[in-house]
Amino acid sequence: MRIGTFGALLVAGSTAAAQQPFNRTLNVSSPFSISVVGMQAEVTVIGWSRNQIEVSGDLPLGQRVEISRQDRRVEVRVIAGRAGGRGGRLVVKVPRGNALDVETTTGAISADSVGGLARLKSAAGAVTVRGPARTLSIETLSGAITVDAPAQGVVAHTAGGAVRIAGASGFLEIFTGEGAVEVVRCMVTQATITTMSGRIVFAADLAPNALARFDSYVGAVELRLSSTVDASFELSTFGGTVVNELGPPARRSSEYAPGKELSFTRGSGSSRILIDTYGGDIRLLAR
Amino acid sequence: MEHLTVEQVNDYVDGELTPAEREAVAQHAAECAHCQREIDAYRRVLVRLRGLPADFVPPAGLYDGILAAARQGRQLTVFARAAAVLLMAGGAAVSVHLARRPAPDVPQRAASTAVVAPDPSESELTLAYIVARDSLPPQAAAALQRTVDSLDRAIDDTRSALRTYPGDGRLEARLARARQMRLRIMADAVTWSQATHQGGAT
Repeated sequence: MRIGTFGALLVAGSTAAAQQPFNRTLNVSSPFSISVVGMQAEVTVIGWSRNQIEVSGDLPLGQRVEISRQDRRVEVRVIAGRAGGRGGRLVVKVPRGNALDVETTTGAISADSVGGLARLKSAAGAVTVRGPARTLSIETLSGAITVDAPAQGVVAHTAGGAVRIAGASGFLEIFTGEGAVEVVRCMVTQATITTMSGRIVFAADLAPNALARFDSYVGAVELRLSSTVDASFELSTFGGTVVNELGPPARRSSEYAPGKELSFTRGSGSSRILIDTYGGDIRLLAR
Repeated sequence: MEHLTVEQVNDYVDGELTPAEREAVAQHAAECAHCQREIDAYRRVLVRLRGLPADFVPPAGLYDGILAAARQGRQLTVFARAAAVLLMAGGAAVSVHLARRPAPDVPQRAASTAVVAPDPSESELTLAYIVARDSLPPQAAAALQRTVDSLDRAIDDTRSALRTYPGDGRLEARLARARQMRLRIMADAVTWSQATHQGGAT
């Protein structure tokens, strides 16, 4: 049994009745890392100022929650029995600023003011982060990703969901298969944003010497930049159109091929912006 | 509405039904999105299997994974079933068999630009992905497959453009990126699936 690898079993299975609430508290001292495995349960993690972890919520009949600790690592795990029902809800309050790792299959994940590094993974659930956080690594296959947090770097990958990042700074690495991407109120040092068919809207600021790459198959790429943006631009599209409010119009890249390309510089060209699409339209707009 | 059986889907795509049976299946598929998806999926399997090298060796553990899933009574998709058939019959034999076999319903464009590259590791990953995808939550698997399909289209489109405009550096770079991304997504799916089986999040 997995739990056997841990030194102490602190709370053994609160075998919850149907949607019966439970509540457990555990004293901890920072720094530590906490791992929450929620399976199909919806998981909410809230950062607070106490040196305690509180686990509460309700789980369907046949499921239980186990909490274990080894050294500075705490694990909260939902255990589904053979006849375990679906769904449920888990609320985990943790001291702010510690490393957090949350995984679910279909349950949504929400992290609020956790303050530290966070790795959040859900196969089919949506992932939402609010409030202070450090670096975020978020992966989901079909869920949406929403970050409204002053995170210092965000990695967000989703095949089917949309991504919205607001308030972050530092690096951004975003991938969507078909979902839209929206980046607003961010100060970016490095960005790599890739989509197959989602629309990208980037309305953020670039730090000096920033590098931002946008790659789309057929999704449109729209940059809404400050009119004082200091950057060099390199754009190319095989079949899309180009609208440019920040510089000269695009030109045909070859007499013999349908592509368009455009290179120009605003200011001293401190930052660098690269955009490449196959069929997606490109729009550079002044904010 | 009663759905088509696996055998009906396979025989329909393989062109082994009588005209009357064929007409009945086509009529059902026209009104049943689920069965149409199964038919489309099996066509894609055929396209991909045709792209496997003659000396293809199934990835270690793939057969065991399929067998375990079957023993647990989990529903296997046509992809996994086709992979199982391939593995049980022997890769090379089936590959040759498929290459010789007429498959009237496989679109020619897709067949001529099979997405699976001759690189054995890519072929192995494709099969591992096909099995892995089956164990993911349905909505996640569907989103994943739509992205892979989208990448397949991107690869096909770019190859087609490259045939018209050979040597275009940007198109070549785009093709390489799309192929790399496809591999990465399939590898991610396998990782997610493994985590699911281990009782983890994914």
